[in-house]
Amino acid sequence: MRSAFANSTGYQIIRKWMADKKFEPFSFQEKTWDLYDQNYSGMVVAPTGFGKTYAVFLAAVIHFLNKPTKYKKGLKLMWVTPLRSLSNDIAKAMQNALDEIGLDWEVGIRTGDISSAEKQKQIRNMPEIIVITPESLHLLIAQKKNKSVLQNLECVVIDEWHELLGTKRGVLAELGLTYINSITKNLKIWALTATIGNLEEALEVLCPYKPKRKIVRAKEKKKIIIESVLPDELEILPWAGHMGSTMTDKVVDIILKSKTTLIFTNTRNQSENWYQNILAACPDLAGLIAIHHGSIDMQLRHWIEENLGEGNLKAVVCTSSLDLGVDFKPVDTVVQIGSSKGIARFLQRAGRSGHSPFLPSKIYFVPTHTLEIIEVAALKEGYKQLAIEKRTPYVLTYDVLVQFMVTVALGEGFYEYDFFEQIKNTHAFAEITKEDWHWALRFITQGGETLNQYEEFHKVIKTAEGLFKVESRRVGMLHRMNIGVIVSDVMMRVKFISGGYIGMVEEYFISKLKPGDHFILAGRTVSLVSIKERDILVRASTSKKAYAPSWLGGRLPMTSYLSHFLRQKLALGNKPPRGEKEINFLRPLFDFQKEESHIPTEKEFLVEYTENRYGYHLFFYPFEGRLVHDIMAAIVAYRLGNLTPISFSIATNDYGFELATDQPIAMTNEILKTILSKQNLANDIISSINAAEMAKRKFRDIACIAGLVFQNVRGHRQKFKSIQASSNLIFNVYEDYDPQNLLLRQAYNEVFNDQLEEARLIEAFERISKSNIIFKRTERFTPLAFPLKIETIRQRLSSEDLATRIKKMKEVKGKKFRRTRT
Amino acid sequence: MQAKKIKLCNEELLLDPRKCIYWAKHKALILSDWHIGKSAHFRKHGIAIPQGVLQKDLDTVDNLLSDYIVKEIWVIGDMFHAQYNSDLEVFAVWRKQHSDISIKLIGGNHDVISKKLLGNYDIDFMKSMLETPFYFEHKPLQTSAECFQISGHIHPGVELHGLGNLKIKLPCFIVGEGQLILPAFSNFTGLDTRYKLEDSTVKKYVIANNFVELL
Repeated sequence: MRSAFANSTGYQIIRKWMADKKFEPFSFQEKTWDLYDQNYSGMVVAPTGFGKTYAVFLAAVIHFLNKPTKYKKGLKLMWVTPLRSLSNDIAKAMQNALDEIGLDWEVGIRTGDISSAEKQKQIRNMPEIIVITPESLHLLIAQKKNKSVLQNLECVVIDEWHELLGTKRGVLAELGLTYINSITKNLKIWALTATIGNLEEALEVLCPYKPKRKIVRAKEKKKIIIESVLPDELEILPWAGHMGSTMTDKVVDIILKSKTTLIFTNTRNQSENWYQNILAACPDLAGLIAIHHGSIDMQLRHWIEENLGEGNLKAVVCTSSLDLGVDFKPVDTVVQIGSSKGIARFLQRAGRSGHSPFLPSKIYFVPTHTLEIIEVAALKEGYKQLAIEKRTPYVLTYDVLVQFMVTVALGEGFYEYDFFEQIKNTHAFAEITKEDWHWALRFITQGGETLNQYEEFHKVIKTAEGLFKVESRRVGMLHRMNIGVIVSDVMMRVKFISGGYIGMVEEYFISKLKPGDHFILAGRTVSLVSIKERDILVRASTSKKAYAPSWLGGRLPMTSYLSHFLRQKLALGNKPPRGEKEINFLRPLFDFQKEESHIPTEKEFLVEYTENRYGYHLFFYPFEGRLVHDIMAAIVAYRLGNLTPISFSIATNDYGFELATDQPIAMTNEILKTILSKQNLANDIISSINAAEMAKRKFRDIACIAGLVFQNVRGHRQKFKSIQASSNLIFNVYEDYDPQNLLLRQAYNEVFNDQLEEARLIEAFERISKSNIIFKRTERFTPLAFPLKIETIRQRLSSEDLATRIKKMKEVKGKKFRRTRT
Repeated sequence: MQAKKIKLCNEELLLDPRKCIYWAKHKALILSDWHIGKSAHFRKHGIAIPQGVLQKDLDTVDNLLSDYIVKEIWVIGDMFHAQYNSDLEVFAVWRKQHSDISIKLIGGNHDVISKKLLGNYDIDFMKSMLETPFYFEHKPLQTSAECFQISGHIHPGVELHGLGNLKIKLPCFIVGEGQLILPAFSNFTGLDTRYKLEDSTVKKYVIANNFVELL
């Protein structure tokens, strides 16, 4: 630290404040303060619980205390957080510190939870610090005259940058930053992040246009203890969710012997079920445990967070909704239910416990099916080797770009040339060409290439002075309601008939229920009374039989790092027992797998084939994670389809993939070699992606983000009904009539870039071609095959003509009919 | 193209895979849910849908006109998606080229376009129509009518299942006791595969590219 800085007023004030609280700053905090004072931008990397927030927040305070005359009235520091549930605690912590320090700054919150009246008040009288989500930032940019609000900003902080990077929300953040940078002078940009595999790149993405930037790393490390919770008996046939109930007692034991426990599940559906199971197993916990996920009423969530912080709760069952940020001090134990899908995520969750930087974090892993037990061994190995995943940033996401262009056109408006330079400044759009830019401009002003002469398309207007802006109120309203990049199914509000809002469920879930059916939400059992517009009216119920809603999406694929360790650990099943608890426990499963089929060593590649009355099934086990399997499966199905006319349904999971069909497959070694060959891979990738309609699935999100399909028409359903079309339909129309459309191209690119991980795919085929291919016919589904068999989400691919397919399906239908009659 | 001949109330009808019916007795082409103006309506609201959508539907009608001897086109509702817009200009040109054909429109929930425009396009508008033995109305009636009803509105589709979890989704004609529901004619429409008739005799004629087949 420079001595001039050490002697500065601001630094002295903060040191005194900390000393009064018996805090000693970490060296990375002091380093950040010093760099900030020298007008650096940068990124702070530290484990959870070490005071990353104070590193940058106090830097801003010190800077102000040292140079108060350089500041203008109004907003000075913007704190962008990915989760709105965090904003409360962050704002509170900052406000407390400010009050104690004696600085009369106000901290405001601006998220989706804040009423529009409150937001209007803020605009007129901005607080000094605002805590905001990326979406709310974009909403602010969509406001007229936002420039006067934002132009005196001194610093923008992106919290939990690792969580945003590698998502389209990260691109939202990038665009928001470049916008603010363009209307301010000497803006500093800082990010806070946990450790990820590509920190240098993370900083580059954050602020490529700030040459004065540095990474500040905490030297402090946090020790993590990983404990697997094993069932008393091993189920040979693993089955998602099946093991749950037998494990409940063990989780209850952990809750009872800990102070406060966070129980992470992977889906909201799981969290509802586990909450019920725990309560049933230990009714004494009623009132002491809570459930927290993204579809639960906001007020209830806030109440839970508050009580968690104050130590009034014994346990909270949650999803990634409590993944980040706030440290709930009383939490001393974390339980992870089911696969965490990645090493970094697992370690971050572990870090939620043992709040003091000097205490180790303890995490229990509760497998939900047998194969996940191998994952514990893999996770331990990954932690030992510190193999932390990368977060690959998105580039050239035209959907986010066109959305942002309309956002700015709705706010201050933009001039073509300046705005292009601004956009090119970002990492995401550094490579955008002039042609693509002009396409985007045409897309928002004329609706694209093919309709140049149609004057009725007027989303964005170019004025005589060359300013691009939105004039139609209707366009503006629809756009504001749909800002953001998180695409989900249509959500419906669940309300008690007597009043009181519980949470949200997806339309498709409720469409399967009849009045009188019971379901659980936010840990309460309710029965469906009626559905009105977007409201689902329910009354409380005591029924023991109730459905747990499932919410689509949110299925994370396993990372390549973890799958690599998994492959290693599985191969241990061939070896005589060693010290690893999990592997030893799985011995009977390994024996069964060996008996029925085979356990692949690291030099082998296993393919299984089973015939039964439901069809003909081929199973492949590359252990590369679901995303890679999606593509591999399509390629193999496509290649088989080239050999003979055949139709497949394809299921994938993190371990392998299944191709199911309605006709026997005469598999030979020759054929296996051909379909798993690395030859002609590039061409087959493209053909199979087309055949399997993978781009169509990607287009679902793109269509929403680009404003072609509206997720949210809040209360105006009827009014906008005539302009609702499915993304599938629009995809088809573009394919037929506008094949050059960049959004369409983006859909294909996304399959390649974030799914394909081409290098990883080629590597996988390389590995397989060097492996000894083992083909086994099995009488029954093996432990490896079983989880694939029950996978319900499937893609389909066919090389048969439609007439044959219909004929075969008609026969099946006829057979079924006869069966039910006899 | 391979149409399917069926007999309803002793009348011979051809179910054409281009999603319409030809009734030779009246030299009439019967179709439903054409949704002319839908793509322009979307554009008007800032959703970029290419114009080729309408042209393709018009080309399909042209092909039908050259395959069959047609004097009349009966549209069982939702011929026009919205109010006047630029797609209708394109339609107007097409209409002039086919002024020898009379068009009858049985109004659907989408048909809000002005009577004056309908007049300009030389379209006869009515709420329902009786052409013995058939009764035409846009929405299928829930209660059994006295006559055999032909309707549209639903955009019916069917999901077929096979061994190995195979599945395909295709548009279809639904024929039940006392009624027939047409598939949506326009290629810019979705499918409803959940629609059910409470009727044990219901038959579905599935449309597969170039032929129609009874399931």
